[in-house]
Amino acid sequence: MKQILPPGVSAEAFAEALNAFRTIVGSEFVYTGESLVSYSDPYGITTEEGAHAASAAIAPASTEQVQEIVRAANRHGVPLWPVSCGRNLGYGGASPRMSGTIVLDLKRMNRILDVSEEDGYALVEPGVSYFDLYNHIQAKGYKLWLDVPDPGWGSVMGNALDHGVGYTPYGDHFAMQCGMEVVLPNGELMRTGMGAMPGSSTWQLFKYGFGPYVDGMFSQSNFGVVTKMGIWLMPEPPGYRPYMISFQREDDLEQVVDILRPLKVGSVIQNGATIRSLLLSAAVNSTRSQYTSKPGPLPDSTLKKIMAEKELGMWNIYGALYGPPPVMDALWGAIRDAFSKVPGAKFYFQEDRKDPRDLFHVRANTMKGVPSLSEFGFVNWSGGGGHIGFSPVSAIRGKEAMKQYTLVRDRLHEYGFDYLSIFAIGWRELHHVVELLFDRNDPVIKRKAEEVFRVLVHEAAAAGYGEYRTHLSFMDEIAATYGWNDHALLKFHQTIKDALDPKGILAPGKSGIWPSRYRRS
Amino acid sequence: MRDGVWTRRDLLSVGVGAAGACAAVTAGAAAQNPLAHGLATWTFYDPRFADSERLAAALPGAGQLHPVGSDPTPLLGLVDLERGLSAPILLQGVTTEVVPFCLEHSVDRHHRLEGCSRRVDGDLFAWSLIVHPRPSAA
Repeated sequence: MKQILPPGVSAEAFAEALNAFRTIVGSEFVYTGESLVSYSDPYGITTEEGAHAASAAIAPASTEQVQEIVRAANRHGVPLWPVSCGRNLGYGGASPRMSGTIVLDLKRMNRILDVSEEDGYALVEPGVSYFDLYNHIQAKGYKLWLDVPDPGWGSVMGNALDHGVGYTPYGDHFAMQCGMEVVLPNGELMRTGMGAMPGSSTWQLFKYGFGPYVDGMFSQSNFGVVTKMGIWLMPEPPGYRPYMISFQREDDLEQVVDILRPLKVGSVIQNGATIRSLLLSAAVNSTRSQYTSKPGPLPDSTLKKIMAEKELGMWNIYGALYGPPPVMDALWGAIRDAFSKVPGAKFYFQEDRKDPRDLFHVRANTMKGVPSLSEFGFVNWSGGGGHIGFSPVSAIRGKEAMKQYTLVRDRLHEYGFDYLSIFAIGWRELHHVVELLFDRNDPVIKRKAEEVFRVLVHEAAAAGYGEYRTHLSFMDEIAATYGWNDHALLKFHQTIKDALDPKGILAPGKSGIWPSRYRRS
Repeated sequence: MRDGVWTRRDLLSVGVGAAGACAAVTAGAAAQNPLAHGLATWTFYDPRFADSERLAAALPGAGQLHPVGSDPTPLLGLVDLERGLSAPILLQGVTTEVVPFCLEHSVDRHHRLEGCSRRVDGDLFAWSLIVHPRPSAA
């Protein structure tokens, strides 16, 4: 494997830096050469040669080692890219934004430092996965539930810091974060919120502390390396009842979203419920070739066949009720009455879905915080297993959901891709997460996928819909769409970046924020 | 999935049919690394596809076959790959790509891998993966 270097760093300086890192963590935890294949992006979509290639990787075991590494990086002028479990697949995985960056792999920092059943929180290091925390809670017998994304092998901390979402009432992961410990770009260690008060017992209980609330500065950013993070956990409820509602027509989406809004804003729908498209629902346990060998958009006859075979609608809500049975009954009454206004709506509880492989059983587990890899099934839909998320946000309005849906569907079909998506309902917003599936072994298809992704970014932005999260290859473009008042927000980020990290050693290019040494006009 | 033992060009140049692809893939992995002989072996197939079980059974050293459909979650419990590995093991199968993908990515930053893969048809891949334990990352 050809050795690449960080831009502007000589081979000699790079070698000296690696030797410094070996002194800190031991030679066996500094990776070069063939080992770096582990840090390549398995879903890389860009056709740019050598994009997002790491020059080396280092795996520290402690916060103290992270501090020493950061100080050494400053002395030697080499950039670092922190990753936690490195499984932000679909958004770049463990790869760096800028080729030549050294990956700071925090996988060895995998301790669950504290879990409080009484107060409902955990304090974790970056390398703790959802499976790790779930297994720990089960082993200890705590009456606590996680909130998990799809899939569950990612980092609890990493997902929250990237604004990931889940499907219980605690589904806004960053909103559930409470208190951080951060290594700043100069190697200094800082704690946020109540953690800044020595002896405080409320670090994981009260988010804001005193003064400016800075925790958000370390999400989707390159202002520091988070080495500890508190996360709130849901007490196990006295009752749990997942439900599914299917809607038969494509156009039902508008009415469904308008019905859903007051239910969600009024907390009748308690969790991160989702509206899932037919094909994303079917794809979890089927492949396209089982229905057709022809390219192009699936005809209505095939869609109807899938609907009949899988007992799915064109749109399918997966939600859940939590609480004492009388509460769940009351909430269900309101939900059912509301959605009964949609002609043809069908209502299911788990016992109504007889096939053990039915997606509803997967969602039922996810909505109670059980991590899995089940949703990976959908990446096999068209063969070749690649996927990337296109994720614009809108208000919870039926017309806007339809507008986004038709825009995206038509563009994907134009470029030869199927439309598979989930509308994830947040506190006040709709995340339209579109799974663009492609054959990662086919360069022609990858080129088309990259092209249609860029088209969608710009068309969505022109309509006022911004992405909430994106792949490394598109971070600059997405950052540019947040350009109100001559890109005031980006300039603000860059001012902070220059102040905190004058040598530009931490995650250059993350979220479009470049340190001055690498900044283009 | 990355190619470890054979390059992708080597695989494509073989140009054999499905059964031949499987034999070539695993024979290649086994022949290149003598440690593959006698390794603890797990062989997977996907019961949704008629050819999968037959082709998986024909893989060298197949032994007991493990069904895995669309959901790769059970793979994580089969062998504690992420950290608890003391000797090399051989994983192989004829499945959709998500199976070797999830196996590979559950361990690739903890252990050293040698793997190869060959597409059988639009849905199925014939693949093998030798996992060599690295020093403990803890």
